Amino acid sequence: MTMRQRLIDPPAWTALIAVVAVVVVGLFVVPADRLQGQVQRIMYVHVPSAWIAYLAFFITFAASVRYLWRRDLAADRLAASSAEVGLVFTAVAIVTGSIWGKATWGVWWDWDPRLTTTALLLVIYAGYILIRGSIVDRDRRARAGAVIGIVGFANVPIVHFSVTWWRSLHQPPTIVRPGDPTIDHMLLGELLASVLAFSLLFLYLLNRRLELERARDEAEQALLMPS
Amino acid sequence: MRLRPATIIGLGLVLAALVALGGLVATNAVVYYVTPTELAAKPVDGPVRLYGIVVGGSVSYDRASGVLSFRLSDGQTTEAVTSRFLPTALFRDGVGVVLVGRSTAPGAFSADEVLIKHSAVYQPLKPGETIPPDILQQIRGGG
Amino acid sequence: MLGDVAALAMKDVRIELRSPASVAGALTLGLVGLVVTGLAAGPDTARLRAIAPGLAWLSIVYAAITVGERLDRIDRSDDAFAVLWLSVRDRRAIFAGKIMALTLMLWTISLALLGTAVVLLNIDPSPVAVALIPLALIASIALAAGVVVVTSTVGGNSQRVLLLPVALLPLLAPTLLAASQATGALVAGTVDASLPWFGLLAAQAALFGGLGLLTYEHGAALE
Repeated sequence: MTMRQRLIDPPAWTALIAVVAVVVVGLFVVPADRLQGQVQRIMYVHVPSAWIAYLAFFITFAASVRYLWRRDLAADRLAASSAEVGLVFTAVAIVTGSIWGKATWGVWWDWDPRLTTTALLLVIYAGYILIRGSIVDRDRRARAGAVIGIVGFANVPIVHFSVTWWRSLHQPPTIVRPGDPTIDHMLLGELLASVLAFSLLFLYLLNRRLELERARDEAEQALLMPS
Repeated sequence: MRLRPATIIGLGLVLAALVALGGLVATNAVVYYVTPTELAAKPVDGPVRLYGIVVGGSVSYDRASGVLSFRLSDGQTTEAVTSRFLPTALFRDGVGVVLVGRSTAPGAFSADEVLIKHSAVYQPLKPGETIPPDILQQIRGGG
Repeated sequence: MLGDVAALAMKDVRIELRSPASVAGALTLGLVGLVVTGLAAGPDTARLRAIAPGLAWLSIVYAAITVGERLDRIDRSDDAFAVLWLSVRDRRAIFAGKIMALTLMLWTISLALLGTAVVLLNIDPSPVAVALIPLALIASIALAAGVVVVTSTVGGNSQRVLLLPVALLPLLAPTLLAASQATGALVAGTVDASLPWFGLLAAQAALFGGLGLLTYEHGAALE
């Protein structure tokens, strides 16, 4: 991709503008929560990041199942790319959550089930990427990745439902729950908009990461089979 | 698709694991914290997490010793809490808190940490409404 | 298939009996860990007793990874694995046999380490601590299943001695937590408090074992 192509990359601009827009609206337009004050605005980064992290690891899981079943290298590339982008969003969710926690709970970190499981997800997928990086054989790399992607994902339902299952310091889900969401509708609108904007960013990053993975596979092929 | 015995056993095991996990969760067997009533019924000798609501008007702060004291209730049982940990500005009458500490006597609890469990209710200030006063600021004489 | 499983498990046990390097090494490492931590914790034996279950089980988790890694490496030397792969009726017998052999070794290691910890730390165990024997068995199955699922897919690569713990420790964290908590509860004599942890260990063993049966043939195939 040349410099000029990069400058007129419409998906990149769409994602960038959407993220900047929700950040500006989240910081300056919507009112802050009456009790928590300004710090509550970090929610518009924290919640979308956490959602997208789970979504990304789900994609890795589904693509891993497909790879083991069909031996489709495209599925393996998707699994690897999604795990890597998901890892970034997990890190953002943990860092923003930690800042939010210090301001509201009073501590940066607590061994709460939700936090602990998210931290475990971070290390599971870091291990996933490291293991893949250590395996030279392409098929072996894909198979080891697929098995870890499947087994590792067995932890995600525990993460998502731990808020409801275990009694926890982390507040229960605000939107995904029976009945009317317990959030003011204007704040809810902004939250949903930021989830959408971060999803666009995720799709863009995932797509670029996939291109890189494809190029890498082509390069490996070319090295193995000199014409 | 042809299912061989090992595949069926594999599926059965995964299913059994999920059912077992659901069962554990349903019985509340693995808990992160206890309530004052549970603590009174089954005292814990050692560090424990205690969750309850700060009883209205019970908060006091001794500036000389830096000790915060308040009463904590779950609606049935009340514990007298003392702590040197200064909670965040969200600390006020009626807020839910998770205490990390230990029982010093029946009905008395010494907390190393006073963590605010804020609710999942997000509402902006209504017109003319002001933020409820920071109780710690008041107690400590305006900081 | 059960005959295959038992035969394959016996093969690993026999190899280990002939040169018990893995079990002996893992036991020695665990003992060194207990003794050195005892020195580091200083004269406060109460604190040491409080962390002992976690420490013992962390050693056992490491043992699971190193012993499992060695079993897999022995299989892969001299193309032995190719012969195995082509000679069994259902390849998942290799998976089940490996879990059975590793479970036996880990059960031995864990009982020996827990027993030593009781003596070294002057713990006066309650009579219900006998339940540590079945506890160690269930935990060993969970650890063995988790280790074999991942190790069998990675293949012989030079960095796996470092990277297997990186990938496996977080996956095995619930087992480590549950086994430590149950051990603490049983030594203290509170059977009630240990029961949910037994359940969690069984769930973990079933999940790893089940996922392993479903993925093994696809994940562990020959290069």
